[in-house]
Amino acid sequence: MKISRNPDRRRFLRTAAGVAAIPAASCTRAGRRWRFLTDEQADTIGAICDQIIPPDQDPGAVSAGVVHFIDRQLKGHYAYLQDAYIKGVVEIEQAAQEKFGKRFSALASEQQLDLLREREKTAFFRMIADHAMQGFYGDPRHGGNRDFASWKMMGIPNPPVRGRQQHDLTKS
Amino acid sequence: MSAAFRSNETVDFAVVGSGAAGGVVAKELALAGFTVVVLEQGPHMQAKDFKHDEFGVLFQSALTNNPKTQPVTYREKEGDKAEIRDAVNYCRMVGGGSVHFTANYWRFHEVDFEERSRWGAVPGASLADWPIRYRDLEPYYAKAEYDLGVSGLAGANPFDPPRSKPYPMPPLPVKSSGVIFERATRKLGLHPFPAPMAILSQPYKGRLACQHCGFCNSFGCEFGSKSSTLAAAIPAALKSGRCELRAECYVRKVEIDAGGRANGVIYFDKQRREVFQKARAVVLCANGAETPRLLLMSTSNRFPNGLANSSGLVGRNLMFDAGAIACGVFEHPLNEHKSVQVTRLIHDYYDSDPKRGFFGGGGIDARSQAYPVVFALFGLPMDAPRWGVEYKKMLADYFPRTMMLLAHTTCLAQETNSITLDPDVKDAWGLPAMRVTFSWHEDDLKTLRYFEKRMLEIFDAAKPRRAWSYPPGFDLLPSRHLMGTCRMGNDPKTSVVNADNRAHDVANLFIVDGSSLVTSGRQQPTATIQALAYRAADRMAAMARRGGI
Ligand SMILES: Cc1cc2nc3c(=O)[nH]c(=O)nc-3n(C[C@H](O)[C@H](O)[C@H](O)COP(=O)(O)OP(=O)(O)OC[C@H]3O[C@@H](n4cnc5c(N)ncnc54)[C@H](O)[C@@H]3O)c2cc1C
Repeated sequence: MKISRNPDRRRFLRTAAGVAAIPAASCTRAGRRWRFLTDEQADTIGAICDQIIPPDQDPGAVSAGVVHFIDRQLKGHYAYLQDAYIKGVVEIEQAAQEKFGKRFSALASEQQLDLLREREKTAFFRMIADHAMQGFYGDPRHGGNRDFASWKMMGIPNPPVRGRQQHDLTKS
Repeated sequence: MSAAFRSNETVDFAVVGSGAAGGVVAKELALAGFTVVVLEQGPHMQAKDFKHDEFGVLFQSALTNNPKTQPVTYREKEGDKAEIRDAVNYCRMVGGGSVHFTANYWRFHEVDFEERSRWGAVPGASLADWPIRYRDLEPYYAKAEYDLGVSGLAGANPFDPPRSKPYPMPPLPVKSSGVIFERATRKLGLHPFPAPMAILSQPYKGRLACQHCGFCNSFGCEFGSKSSTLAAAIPAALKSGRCELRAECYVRKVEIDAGGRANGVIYFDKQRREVFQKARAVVLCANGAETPRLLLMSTSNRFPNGLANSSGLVGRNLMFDAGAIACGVFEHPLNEHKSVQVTRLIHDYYDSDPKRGFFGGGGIDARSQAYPVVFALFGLPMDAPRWGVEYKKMLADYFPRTMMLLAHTTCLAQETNSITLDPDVKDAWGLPAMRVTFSWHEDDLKTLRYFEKRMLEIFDAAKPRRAWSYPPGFDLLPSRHLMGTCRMGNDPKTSVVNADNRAHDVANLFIVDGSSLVTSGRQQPTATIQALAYRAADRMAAMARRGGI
């Protein structure tokens, strides 16, 4: 299966293009979609995460916002892992070029899996898999699990029961 | 109205730490008419500040001690070099561990106070009897249950020790895991009973009953239905007008006057300015890990090895949280993510049994397995795929259908397991980091293996699609139960505090928290810590009234 045939990913790329053209109000640096990552790095990380948590009848990592989650954390809680991400992405892109002559995100799914399986035991893969899970299954406030995608998939009620303070009707 | 004191004003009591014990001590002393300043290093959050944010709470230390600012080092045995590792986990805020605990509220049994005389010595361990017995604490267990609000069913557990009163309210409604567990254990001739929980099953003293949102373990309750000291004790302390709570104040030393008496504490306030608060007596309630650290940091000419440490036992006999895990996945959804974690348990294997050939016992409870992120990372059987299409399918299938059995088991005290000061690593305030030295006693590990088998038997009887267990010893660090490091006893050579929680070496210094525990019970130490806190506060008040402090 070609990545470009994946509807979730296409939708995501379309949104990405739109945002790049019209600077988002919430973005301090106009035209920058990411807080830390470059578009290329985000593209590679997205492709890896979509193999770790692939879209099926339920959304996959990318459409649930996992790359946004990772990007945010790289400017926050996981700032100390910036180098590890940059090096890991460089390494896997080199391997993609050497073995298949293309960017990782442009490879066929089987080719991507090939490269990932070889790296399953590496610190980089384990790190990105952990972070993909944290983003995908965690609270949407951190940028992942958009629209409670994973919680719906697991049958957790949505919206979840919340403290009475959060249902203060005088404020809504 | 909350009181406000100047630091050069001498208050009756300075209480360090506002957790399970500290919140109770502060309230009891203030209501008994004494002036109290409570110093708590963490923030004063309220129910409305708590969120269902698993990443924040479990991965970013939103509520707990933060390894980035307060690193902990760990080594297995004395002589090794300790490395930075998350070995100790506690809730760092007003209310302490009572805010984020699962709220299992087990009284210790009679045997827990006298195991040394009933069982005999255990090689390599410093097993000892307590200086008090269950009957001495019983009225205070009852007081804690009524004052704070505990749900449960008296008489349902045939192994329960005697009690003077039933629980103040009925148990919480049973969950799927509880029903499955109850049927299976009955089939095996065991005696399941409704879990006693420090969570309200009914409105109580102006607080809401549980709304079954499912986020108890590790989270703060958004409804104030968990009977934390934040919800159930500290408001009354502040209302008395005699208690001032100073949050984000980190105590670094207990000061001693020329006569060897404590005369106050030195702390860093929120702006990291040093403040000296004068007090007639000091009560340490900073938990089983931070209390010994603070005593070891409180050196002086008179006490060069740390305060209250003439026995050399401050920090020693550290006992941790021991538990074994088995999981089962069932045909139908159990939806265990809802409501309180635990609704049924057994105490059939509580006592040590010579026939087993080793010391140790425990209880087994039935509960939800994990929140979504932790489930995704660790929830599936060890041989399951870790990522990809099959993994994702399996997760969606397993999450709503999985339940867990958790055995809570003894941890033997050993003098070589300790909290000390790290010689190299410092925290963000420049204080020596906590160094943990800990390894399990072989009987603790044998107990875990024994319980692993018992849990798999229960699953056999419950007939899940599949059951699995984790190797005993899996996932035991960081520890969440911190006990034993200032043990209570009659002999000043073999203990740090006396039967009234008063330091043997310093007449006006009291230590009331997990560090006083002589044995670990079968974990779930909080009911006992709080019963001790009610009792110690009674004693302190009586002594103070007689002018004995
Ligand atoms: C996730 C989790 C689940 C748990 N579930 C259960 C359960 O189901 N049942 C059970 O019985 N127990 C449970 N526990 C354990 C329970 O939380 C503790 O046993 C209990 O809180 C210990 O009480 P304590 O008074 O000794 O200390 P704590 O409650 O830890 O209070 C100590 C307080 O002192 C403060 N402090 C420390 N040092 C300083 C200093 N130098 N200056 C100022 N303040 C300081 C801390 O910030 C803290 O607020 C659980 C613990 C965790 C982490």
